[in-house]
Amino acid sequence: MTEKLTRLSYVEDEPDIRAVAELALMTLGGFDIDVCVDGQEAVRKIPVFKPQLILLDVMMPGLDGLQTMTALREIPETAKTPIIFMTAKAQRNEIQHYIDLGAIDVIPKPFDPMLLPQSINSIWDRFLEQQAA
Amino acid sequence: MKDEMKNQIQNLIIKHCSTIAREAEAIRLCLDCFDQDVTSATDMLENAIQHAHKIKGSSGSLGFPDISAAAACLERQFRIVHLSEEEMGLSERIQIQAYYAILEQLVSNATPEASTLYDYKLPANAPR
Repeated sequence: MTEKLTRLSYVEDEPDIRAVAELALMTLGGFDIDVCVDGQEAVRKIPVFKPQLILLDVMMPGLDGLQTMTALREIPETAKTPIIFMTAKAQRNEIQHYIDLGAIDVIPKPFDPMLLPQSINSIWDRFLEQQAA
Repeated sequence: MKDEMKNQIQNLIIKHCSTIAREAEAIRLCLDCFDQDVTSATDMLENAIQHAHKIKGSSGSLGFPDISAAAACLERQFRIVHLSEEEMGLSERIQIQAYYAILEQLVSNATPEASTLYDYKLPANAPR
């Protein structure tokens, strides 16, 4: 099973992080990317964009990452879309907690934006392998 | 494409230097409030945590790991005080002021060229 990752949504409230990550994901990763500035916008836009994968910041004002995931899971279009959390809280037990809640992986913050596309592709490939097994 | 991306990154870094200066100033205002108004100390602490958290995350991703680390220390100290639910004592206050002084110095000395991303060599397979 080799479904190339081309289309993803990225939810991040912090403008500087969002801008540099978006640039790297589009230019280096070659992804078709839809950016959301908070959880509310994510719940509105992502079901329409229908990405293969969602990158979701955890600590956001309004709906945080976990609440956003819960809301997206209740929408048929995004009920099963894989989610990667991005968070500074990335101790081993915290990562396991997010995975138990339904994320496929966690990218620790701060992250190197230049390595972000590579990290996402690795997680995606591993996810597909697990799905196929 | 490579040159264009490099220019865009450099512009983001220049903008980021202004952002962190504003965020550091916002923390200083919170610290001033601790001294003036005890009743709003919890709100100010929560604000200060948010500003420190922002600097930690964004500076780390924009090539300023030392600023990110200093902001992380300050955020941790704010959270310790916040969790204790007691009025901030003198020793905590001194510790926070010390962490803030380090952060403030790093931020005021930050130049775009100092970012590890400023002259980043894009990978050979990056779009040209």
